Amino acid sequence: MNDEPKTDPDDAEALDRARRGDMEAFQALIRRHEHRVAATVIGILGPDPEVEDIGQETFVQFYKAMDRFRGDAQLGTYLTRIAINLSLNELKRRKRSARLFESEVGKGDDPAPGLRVRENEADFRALVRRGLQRLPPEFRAVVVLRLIDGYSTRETAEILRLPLGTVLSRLARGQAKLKEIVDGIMNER
Amino acid sequence: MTKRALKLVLRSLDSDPGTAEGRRLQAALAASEELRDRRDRLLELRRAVADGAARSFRPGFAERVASRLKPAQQVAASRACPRVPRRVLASAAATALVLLAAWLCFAAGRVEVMPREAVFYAPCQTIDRLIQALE
Repeated sequence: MNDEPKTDPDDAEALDRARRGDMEAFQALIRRHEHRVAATVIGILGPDPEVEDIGQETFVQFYKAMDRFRGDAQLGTYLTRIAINLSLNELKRRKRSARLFESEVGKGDDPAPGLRVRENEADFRALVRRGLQRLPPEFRAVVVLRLIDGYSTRETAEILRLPLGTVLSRLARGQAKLKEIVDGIMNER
Repeated sequence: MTKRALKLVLRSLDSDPGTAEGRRLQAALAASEELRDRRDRLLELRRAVADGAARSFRPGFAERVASRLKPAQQVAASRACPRVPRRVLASAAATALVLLAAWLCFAAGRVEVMPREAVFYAPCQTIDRLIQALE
């Protein structure tokens, strides 16, 4: 977040101003939280051009519901919840589409064109990113929130409205699956 | 390397295994090079997930969201100043005009107080008698 102006007011003050129609204050809020939202949305959907729409929709939905936000949760957590719900819905929508059907059933291609790894690329991170997109959504959500967004397991459980035990079990199984997927991709090459 | 030991390793990455399980985990790790290797590879995988993640949209994201919100802002502003129906506006304007004209006439001294006879269409004596009867 190095492009974030230092003079930005804190969330509560900016929220108060935004509620009174100050769009500059709302933009300050967006700049403060867009990286977290981006990490969540791109983590779930992959680096696809469409992810920006989901990111924008996250803030649009928050803007419309701003008066109902009572501050029970951190604003970042609240936005992450909106972002992950929208991303998982988008994932379902994509799953229904023929494009994703082909890539999932197909020949080991990536679901998102932007993810296609060049033949000579041996970047482990790129492989892992690619593997993450093949992880079933329920595991992907916990892995993204815990490992990319850095939420604690308890926070992850709260965001996904799941019992802590389920989160711990999905994390363990998700990592094991991810490792299998990454090993599989490496063997494909 | 047993399945149980691997499960312990996986769990320990995200939660405190507790004293008893922690001891079992340490013992299993000390006894198995394969398990240690597996744990190291898992840690490497976690680092790769975290470090390899994209964390930004294209520059100017906040501005694009703001421009997308402009119509919503205008709707909110128009809701804040509720629209008055045309009929109500027209009748209010007409009433205001009549009142203004009446006030101007009165101020100019053109309006006279009407006599009782003119109001009731009856002679003064008849009106007086009626009032007395009512009293």
